[in-house]
Amino acid sequence: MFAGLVYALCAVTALSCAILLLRGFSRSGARLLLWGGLCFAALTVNNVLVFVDLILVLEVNLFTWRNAAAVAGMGVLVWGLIWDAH
Amino acid sequence: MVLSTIPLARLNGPEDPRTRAPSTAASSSIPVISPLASQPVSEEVARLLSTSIDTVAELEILLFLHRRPDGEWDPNAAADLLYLDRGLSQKIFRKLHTKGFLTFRDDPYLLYRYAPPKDVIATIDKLAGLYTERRLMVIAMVAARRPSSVQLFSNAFKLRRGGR
Repeated sequence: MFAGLVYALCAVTALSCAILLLRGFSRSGARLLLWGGLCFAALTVNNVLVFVDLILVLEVNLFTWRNAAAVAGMGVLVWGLIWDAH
Repeated sequence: MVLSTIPLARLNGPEDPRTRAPSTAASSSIPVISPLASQPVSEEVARLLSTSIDTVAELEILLFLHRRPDGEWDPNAAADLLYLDRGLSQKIFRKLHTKGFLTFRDDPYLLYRYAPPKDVIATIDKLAGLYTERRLMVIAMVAARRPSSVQLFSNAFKLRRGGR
């Protein structure tokens, strides 16, 4: 029960960050905010999948998919930072 | 007073008549004595730059209109003369109008006219003089106030604009 609450709050937090960063990107056009927003969007997916995997649907293993979402998000952020630096 | 052996015209472009230094000094290596070069930037000019001018393009358009206070200008025509993107020019004209520097009429065409508030006219005059004399410094002042990416990242988490 408590773990489920933590997973849900993580998802909500990541979603809030994604929304705020993408809103900031739409206002300022700074690409750092785009990469950060996309990263947090992927982390939102990751956290939702964690909630689904560990709380809602125990019979299906989503380990690969949820970690793939997290890796994709971090990859977008790292790629964006490197690309912007150039 | 500051002495410089670099003609001002070399810094600002020899083709621009506004920036041409006094005739005897501009074309030789005789030291240029600029009366403005030793003057600090006045507080009101610094405030104008920090509160109302976000980019060099905005500054260029504002001073372009300042030099032509009696004319009415189409943003596209100004863009062509200043070698700016037309879309950017239209945005800047709208922004300058929002900030109260310009008025406009849209019949039959959208035309803007330089019409700043009375209490800002003298400040813009000073800014124009400063830009002629110390262009690079003014550009540096405008560029320095652009927020860094990290600052923008931080600002993105402010729920309200201007919130702390």
